Amino acid sequence: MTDGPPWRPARHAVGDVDVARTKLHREIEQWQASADGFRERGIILSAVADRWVELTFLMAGPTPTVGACVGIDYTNYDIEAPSVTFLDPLTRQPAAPTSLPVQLDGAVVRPLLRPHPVWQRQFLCLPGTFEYHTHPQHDGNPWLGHRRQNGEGRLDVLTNRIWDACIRDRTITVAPLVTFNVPELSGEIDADQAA
Amino acid sequence: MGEQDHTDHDATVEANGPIRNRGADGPNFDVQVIVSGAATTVTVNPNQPVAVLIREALRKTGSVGQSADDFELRLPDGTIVDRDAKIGAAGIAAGVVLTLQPRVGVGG
Repeated sequence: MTDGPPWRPARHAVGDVDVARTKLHREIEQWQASADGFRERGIILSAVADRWVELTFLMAGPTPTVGACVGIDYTNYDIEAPSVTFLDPLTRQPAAPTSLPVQLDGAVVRPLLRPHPVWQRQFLCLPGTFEYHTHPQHDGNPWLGHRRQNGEGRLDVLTNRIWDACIRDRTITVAPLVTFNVPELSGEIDADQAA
Repeated sequence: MGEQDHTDHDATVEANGPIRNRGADGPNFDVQVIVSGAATTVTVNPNQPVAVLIREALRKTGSVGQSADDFELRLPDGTIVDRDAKIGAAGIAAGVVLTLQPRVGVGG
């Protein structure tokens, strides 16, 4: 377990924190059992802290690129759903992912990154997440109707759902552009040319 | 009619029931399915539809709260398997580790 993340959602414990810790520990153990398969798909468990995990999703290509990075907060799990926030993989602050999450609904591409009127940040609009179930437009679809329904909120289930939304069936094309920034060398060339 | 090949009879699978093992000489094989974090081994026949495998995995793990149609089965590379395809044609091979999880609801 690492030090706490530089950012995490402000959530107050409403239950026994040790219960949430124990449940997340179990989630991580089960995730690790499939870690090789996740790694082959470019999914890395990049940080673990108290009731908190971060996942990094790489996109395959000439240069593997970070398609998305998320912080998942398991405070109050599973009385409440886990909170999912897209992060900048370097600063670990909330930021839109490189590969925006969508859901295919037939021929319709449904954007899944939405502004949240309560938490004032962009969120992944999918059932099974804290932000979804606390959105005023989803007050008729409470978390308690999903809780313990065969995997809702589980780390491996969320992993697959985020991968589906951001990475699956996508390719990245990289055009290498190499620039040299050596002013001293440029100066010598200029001097020779001047002579 | 001295010798009769029993393998075809043994391979019969009830539509909603468990898969019967054809024996060591038959084409049946084992796959591991992770359902809600719990791993279970299911013996399958490559000619059966994937839906039979899904139902069997749910039955063995006691995951009876939802319809089997509400679940999706994944290969190790994340591909979601067509439930109507035959197991053998769907890329499911002996020893593979599959993941079964509930379908995601509509978002956005």
